[in-house]
Amino acid sequence: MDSLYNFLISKKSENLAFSSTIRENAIETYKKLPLPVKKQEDWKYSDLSNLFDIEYNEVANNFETNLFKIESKNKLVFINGCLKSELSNFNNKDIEIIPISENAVATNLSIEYINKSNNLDNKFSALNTAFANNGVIIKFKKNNALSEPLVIEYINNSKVATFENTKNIIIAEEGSVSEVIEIHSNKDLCMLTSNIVTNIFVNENASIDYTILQTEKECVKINSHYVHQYKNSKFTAHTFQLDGNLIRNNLIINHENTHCETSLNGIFFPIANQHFDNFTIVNHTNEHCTTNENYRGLANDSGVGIFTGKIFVAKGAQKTLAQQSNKNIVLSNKAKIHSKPQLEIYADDVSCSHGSTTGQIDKDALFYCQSRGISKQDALKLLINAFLVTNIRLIKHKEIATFVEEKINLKLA
Amino acid sequence: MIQIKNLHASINGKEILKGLNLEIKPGEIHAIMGPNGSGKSTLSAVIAGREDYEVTAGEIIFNGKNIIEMSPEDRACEGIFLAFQYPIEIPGVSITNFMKTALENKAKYLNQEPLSAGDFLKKMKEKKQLVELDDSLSKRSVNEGFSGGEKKRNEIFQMAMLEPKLSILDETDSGLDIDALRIVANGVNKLKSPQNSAIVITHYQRLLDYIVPDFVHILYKGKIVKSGTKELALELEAKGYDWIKAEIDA
Repeated sequence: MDSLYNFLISKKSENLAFSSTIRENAIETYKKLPLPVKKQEDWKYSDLSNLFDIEYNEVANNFETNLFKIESKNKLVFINGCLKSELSNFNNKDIEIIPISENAVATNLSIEYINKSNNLDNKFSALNTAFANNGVIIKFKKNNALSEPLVIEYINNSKVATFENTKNIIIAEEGSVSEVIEIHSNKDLCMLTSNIVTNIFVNENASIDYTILQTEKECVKINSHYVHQYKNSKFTAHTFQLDGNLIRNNLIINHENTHCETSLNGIFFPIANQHFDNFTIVNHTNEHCTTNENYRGLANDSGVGIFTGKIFVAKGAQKTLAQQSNKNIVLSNKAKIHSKPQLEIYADDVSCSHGSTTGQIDKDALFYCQSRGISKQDALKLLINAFLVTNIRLIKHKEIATFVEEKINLKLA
Repeated sequence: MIQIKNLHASINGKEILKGLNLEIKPGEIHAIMGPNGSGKSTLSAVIAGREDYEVTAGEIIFNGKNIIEMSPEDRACEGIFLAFQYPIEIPGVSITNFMKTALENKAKYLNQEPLSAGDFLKKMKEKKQLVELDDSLSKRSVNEGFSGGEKKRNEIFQMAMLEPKLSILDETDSGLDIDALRIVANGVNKLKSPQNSAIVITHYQRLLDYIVPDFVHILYKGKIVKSGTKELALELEAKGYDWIKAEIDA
C-alpha cells in the first residue's frame, strides 16, 4: 500500500530532527492527511499520489560536481539530501551552524521556533517532520551584515529510486542582513525524490534576500519554505524554475507582527515534459505589512507550469498593501499554464490588487522585429527577455542574472 | 529594383490583390493612392513578407531575386524596409538594443563585420538628428508611450539606420500634424539617392507636396487601374475617387 511510508519507517535513521513525541504525532497526522490528488484543491494541477507507490531503496552519497556554482566563503553542500561537512564551510563571525538532531533541536531552539517548524499541513511536510534526519540550524548573528552570501547546494545523483527528507531551519537574528542562495543543480539523471523543508525566521528589523535556483536533470522535488516574519522585517524571494522533472515549490509566508515587507519574484519555464508548480501563500495577520508578488511563466513543448498565489488579509490586518501579478506566455499548442491568483480580504482599510494574464507571443511584435532584419529566433529571444526583464533586474548577483538569462535563451533555441 | 508581376494575394481565403503589376527603377519614388480597402496596406505587407498573407499567384523580383519564398528578415537584410502605418510597441526593448540587434543580424546576413560600439553610437546620434528624435527616446522601449508623431519619426529613424534599397512608407502621414509631416518628409528626402527607391502609400495629396513622386498609381480592387505623374494626385484631390470607380466599374 504506502511503500513510501514503509521505506521511511524501516530505514535506520540517526539524528532525527525532532523529539519522539513530535515525530509520533507527525506520523499519526500523516496517516490522516489526504493524498495529494487532483480532488484536493491545493494539489489540483499536480497529482503526486504516485510518489507514494514507488519502491524506494537506500543510496550511497558520493560527490559529483554540479552545473552552476557561486563562489562564497559560506557554503553548505547536500548530496542526495545529506549534509557533507567536508565540502561545507562558513565564517564563524557571521554565522552559527548546528547540525540538526533531536538534541540540537531540543537544546538550541526556543519552544516557539520548534512549534513553528514541525509542519503538518500536508502529507509531505508531515513526513518531513516525522523522518527528517538531515539538515542544519543556521543562525545569522544579531545586528550583523553577512559579508558573503550563504550558498546552499543541493546535488543529487542517486541512480536508484530513493526518498530523502531534509530539514533546515534558518534564524535571522534581530537586525541581521543576509543573503541565501539555494542552488539545485545536478548534471546527470537522478532518481532521488527530495522532500526539503526550510523554516525561516526573520526576526525584528532583520532582512533576508533568498534565491532558489533550480536547474537540474530529471529530479522530483518537493521544496517547501515556511517563512515567519517579525516586526519591521524584510523577506525577498527569487524563485527560478529552469530545469528539473517534477518540481513543487511551496512558499508560505506568515506575518507575525506589524510592518513586514515581503517580495516574491519568480520565473518558471517548463519545456518537454517538465512539470513546474509554484504554490505560494502570504498570510497578512498584522497591520502595515506589504507584499509584492510577481511571477512570470513560459511553457513550451508539452511543459506544464502552475502558479497558485493566495494572499489572505485577516480582519485585523489594516493598512495592508498587497500586489500580486502573474503573467504567462505559452509557446506551443501542447504546453499548459495554470494560473490561480487569489485574494481573500477580511479587513476594510487595505489596498490590494491582483492580476493574471496568459497568452501567446505577440505576432505583430514578432513581425515588426523581423521586418527590421532580426531573425525569428533572435526576435523571440528579444521579446521573451523583455517580458522577463523586470524580474531579472531584481536579481542582486550579476552571475545569477546572466545564468538565468542564458538558460532561458538556451531553452528558447 | 523591384518588379511585381500579376500578384495575387489573399488573407483567410479572401483575395485582396488580384493581379497587380508594378515596376520601380533605382532612384524612383512611386506614390500609391486609392480608396479605403483597395489593398494598399496588403501590398506593403506582402512585399515585406508578412506570413498572414498568402501569395496565390505572380512574382516579386527584387534585384533579380524572386522573394516570394523569403522570410521577412531575409527580405529586410536584402534591403527592403517597411515603415509601419501603426508602429508596434515593444515594452522592455530599448531602441538602442533593438537597432543593435537589427544591424548585427543584417551584418551577419551580408557576411560583414558588425559596427563597433563607438561607430554604432555615432550612427545612432547622426540619424536621430536627421528626424529630430529626442536623445532620451533611444533609452526608452520601442514605441512605448510615444506620441503619434514620435512613432512615425522613429520609423524613419530606423529606416535611416538600416539604409534600405527600397523603402515602403505605409500611410506615414496619417496622424501627423504639419510640423511632424515636414520633419518626416525631410528625413525621407535626405535619404534619397540615385540608388534608392521608395513606395509612398498615402490617402492625401498633401504628403506629395513634401515627397515629390516620379509616378503616381491608383490602386482599386486589388489592381493598379491608373498610373500617371504627380498631376494625377492633384486631380484625385480635386475630384475624389468616384470618377475612377465609375470608369473601372463601368
